[in-house]
Amino acid sequence: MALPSPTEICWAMRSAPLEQSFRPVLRAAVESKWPETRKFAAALLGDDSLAPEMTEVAIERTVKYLAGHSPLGVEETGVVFFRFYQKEVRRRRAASTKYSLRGTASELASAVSASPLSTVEHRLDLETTLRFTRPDLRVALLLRYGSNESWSVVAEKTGTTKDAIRKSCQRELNRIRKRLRADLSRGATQREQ
Amino acid sequence: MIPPFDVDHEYEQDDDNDTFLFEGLQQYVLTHYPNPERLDCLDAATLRAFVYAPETLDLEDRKFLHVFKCAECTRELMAHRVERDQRLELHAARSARPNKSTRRAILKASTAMPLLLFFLVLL
Ligand SMILES: [Zn+2]
Repeated sequence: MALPSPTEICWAMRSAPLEQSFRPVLRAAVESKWPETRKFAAALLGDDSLAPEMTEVAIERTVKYLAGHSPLGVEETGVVFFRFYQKEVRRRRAASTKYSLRGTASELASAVSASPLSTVEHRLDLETTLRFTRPDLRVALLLRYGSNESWSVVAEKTGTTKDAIRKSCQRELNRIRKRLRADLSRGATQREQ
Repeated sequence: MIPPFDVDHEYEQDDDNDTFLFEGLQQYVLTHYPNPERLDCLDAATLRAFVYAPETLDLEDRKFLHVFKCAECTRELMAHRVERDQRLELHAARSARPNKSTRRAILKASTAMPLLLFFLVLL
C-alpha cells in the first residue's frame, strides 16, 4: 500500500489546534523533509511504513514548539520538526529493542553488553580524535563542516589544491564514513537478527 | 514501500565534495550531541564569523573542535549558512538583472520597432 503524502498527513492537523499562520510554513517544512523522514525511518527501523505515523507525532510537537516561540522560517521549522521526528523514531527503536530481548537474565546481560547501542563510548567523537590531528587538516575539516565550503574553497583558503587537501583528509574521512555507515546500518541489521 | 535505504550505495555515489558524508556527520552531531545548557559553546559572534569570515578566526585553536560535538552550535552554523546562501542568491539575482540604462534602451527599442516596420512596409 502506498504511504500517504506529507500533505495528507499534515492534515491530520485538523485535530491539532493549529494557528493558521503556521500552516504554510509547517507544510513546506514537512514536505521538504519528507524524503529524509522516510530514509531515517528505513535506516533505524528497517522500513519506512511507520513514517507517516511518526510524522504526525512530530508535527504535533512542532506545533506546540512554534506556539511558544517567535515565527520561524521553513528551513528552521524543518530542523525543529526533524528533531522531534528523530526523537520519535529513536523512542520506537528503543521500545522495539526492549521488547525483542528474550532469554535468561545472564543471557540478557551479555546481550546488552554486546549491543553497540548500549555503549556511549562507541560514539564518533571528533572533538577528541581530531585533537591530535595535524592543525592544517583540522582547519580544513572545520571549514568543510562548519562553513560548509566546497573542497575547492577550503583548498583556496588553506593554500593548497582541492585534490591535495582531500587526499590529506582521507584518513579522517574514512574514519567518519566507517562510523556513520555502521550507525545507519545498525537499525536495519538489528531488525534482521 | 521504498526499498531499504542502501547506505553503502549512498557513500559510493557521493560527490567529490563528500556532501553525503558531511550531511550525515551533521545529522549525527545533531542527534547524538544535544547541548541545551550550551556548555563550552562558542559565542554568537564567533559562530557567525565561522560562516561569514572564517579567515578572521584562528581555526587552529582546538576550542573550535567543539562544533563536532555540539548540536546547538551546529544548528546555529546551519542557520547562518542558510542566511548566507540566501544573501548570495539574492546578490546573484540582482547582478543578473539589467541595470536602469539598459532597461531604458530596451524600452526605447521596443517602442521604435513598430514605427520601423511601418516605414519598411511603405518602402
Ligand atoms: Zn556548542
